[in-house]
Amino acid sequence: MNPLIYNIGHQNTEYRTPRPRVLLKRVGCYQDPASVEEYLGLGGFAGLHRVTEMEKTQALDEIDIAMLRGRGGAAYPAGRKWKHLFGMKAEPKYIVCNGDEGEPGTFKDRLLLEEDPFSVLEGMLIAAYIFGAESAYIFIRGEYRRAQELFRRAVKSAEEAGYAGETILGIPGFSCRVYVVSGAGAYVCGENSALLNTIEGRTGRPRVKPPHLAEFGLYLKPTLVNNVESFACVPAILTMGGRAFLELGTEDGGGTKLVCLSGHAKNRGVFEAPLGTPMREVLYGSHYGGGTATGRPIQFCHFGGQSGPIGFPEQLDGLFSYQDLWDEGLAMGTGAVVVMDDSVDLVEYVRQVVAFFVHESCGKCTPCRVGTMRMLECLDGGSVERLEEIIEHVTNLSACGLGQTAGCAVGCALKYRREQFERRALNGVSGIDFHRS
Amino acid sequence: MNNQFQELSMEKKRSIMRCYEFRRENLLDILLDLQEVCPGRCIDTGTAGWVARELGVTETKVSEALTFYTMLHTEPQARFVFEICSSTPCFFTKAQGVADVLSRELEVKEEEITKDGLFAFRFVPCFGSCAEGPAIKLGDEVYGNMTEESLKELIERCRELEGTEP
Ligand SMILES: Cc1cc2nc3c(=O)[nH]c(=O)nc-3n(C[C@H](O)[C@H](O)[C@H](O)COP(=O)(O)O)c2cc1C
Ligand code: SF4
Ligand code: FES
Repeated sequence: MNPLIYNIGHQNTEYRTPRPRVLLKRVGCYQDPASVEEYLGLGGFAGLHRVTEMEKTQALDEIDIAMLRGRGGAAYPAGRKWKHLFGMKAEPKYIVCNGDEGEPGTFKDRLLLEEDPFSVLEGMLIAAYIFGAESAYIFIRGEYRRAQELFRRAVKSAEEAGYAGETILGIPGFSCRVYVVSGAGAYVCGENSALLNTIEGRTGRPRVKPPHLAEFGLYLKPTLVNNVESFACVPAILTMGGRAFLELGTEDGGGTKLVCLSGHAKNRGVFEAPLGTPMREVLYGSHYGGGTATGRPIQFCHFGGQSGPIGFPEQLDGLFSYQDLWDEGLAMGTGAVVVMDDSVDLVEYVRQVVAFFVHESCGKCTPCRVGTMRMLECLDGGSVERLEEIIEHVTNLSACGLGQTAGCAVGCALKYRREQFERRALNGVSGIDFHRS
Repeated sequence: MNNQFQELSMEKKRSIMRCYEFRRENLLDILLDLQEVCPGRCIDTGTAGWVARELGVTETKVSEALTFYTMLHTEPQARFVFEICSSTPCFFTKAQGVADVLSRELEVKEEEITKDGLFAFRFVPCFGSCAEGPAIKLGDEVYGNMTEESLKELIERCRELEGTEP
């Protein structure tokens, strides 16, 4: 296993060799990451060339075989999603890249967008070729103005070199304009239907589903929505072949995964780990997290951002793979791993998580708008039973993924460390000294 | 003088619109860019109405966007707003300590503007600099691994910038 690190500091760009192999292989190699010449010099657009020499169905098969799971959180197999969309008759079709990256603790999409934007663009153009889409959108969160500007320059540079815009690669009928659209600070906009509403110029609240976005997506036309990292995997799959990509990972999920280590990890940053790397290696290995900065024991890890589950040390003996995490009641989510040492108060931690959801609830449906607030009140002074009841309501009755996952972290903490909540009898966690960590 | 200023800012406003080809899809881009050049770094009702007309959408749509998104403001902002990340990876790496230092140094509470109109601070959710917690954002710039010293230095640097063009 070759662990790979890129420490996403602004001044401290640091590598621990051996060099990355798949997603990070070009990161740090550019003078100007928005220069198409440099991308070509680094072997770029090989996947796009390759797809134009294949049958479209064959390309879809490769992605299917690769067992690429969506890197935006839901882990839905991309091959299945793409094939489903391919079967849709309505025209035009739209390609949308989700660069909202709102999950706290996740910063891998920013790295790709700022350091290797063409890999993402190439993935989008491959999709545009397969689906005959003439417009592709990338939605990038408002906090990443730099990345937006860079991506716009990259698109321009690609257009000038004939890799985007009209008659791409000189192939008649292969034209695709790429638009960059900004968010302005709303976590819920990352939800795929809310994202499409935002692009349409509406307020970024989720739509009622079904209908599926593959049928009625952007402007009610068939639409593909994938995460930034998912798109960046696509050129790699086409150049190395689906089977080789699969073999980098495990049966239930091929390839490598960008891991974002944060919190109390000794080495914080974006790492590229082959799926199936032992979890302990990711957390403690010197090429990865390296344990905690203070040397104190890890108390728990929060996976996949705020909406993901919390895992305790007894759950972390398996592999860093989709299936092993699921087996432990955990999930990969976005690839965020927030490491917390034993100085942190677990109840206080989950309170902060719930506060995030209270802030971010879009208010469209009552279970989430009111329920998240009730959860917070319970944590500030209520009974454990009442808290459990509310979590169940919010999880089951909310209309979109935000509400449905708002109680996930608290639920995990309650399941495995109930006594900590009972001991506190939920007599208010405010007023606690936050400076110890 | 006042007229000249308005003309200048109108020209700036128009060039922002042109830059996005008057596309409704870029409503948020346009509002964010406008906010940068508008006095007080906020979108007043006049500007909001103008945007609505130029894009051919209702004023309600624009004002809904202004209230829905946390990065858009309708009230005048301090010249320098320190935004402290309050999401858990940063929060549990002493983000509260950052707030305490700012509060003490600037003599304001969260969301208050200093008397000279220069500074304010607030908590915001994650902005993707989680490997550098505690992190703060100042406009489009991010500063990570904040300590009391680096904060004081940053405040000093802002003071030196006072009076220069935003
Ligand atoms: C509240 C909420 C926020 C989300 N935020 C993001 C996000 O920031 N980035 C992202 O790629 N997916 C996000 N998703 C998941 C998307 O809805 C969608 O599943 C994803 O973009 C599909 O791409 P993928 O299959 O490549 O992962 C979010 C989902 C929910 C419910
Ligand atoms: S679950 Fe929450 S975020 Fe989702 S639609 Fe309902 S109120 Fe909005
Ligand atoms: S958690 Fe603070 S910037 Fe992401």
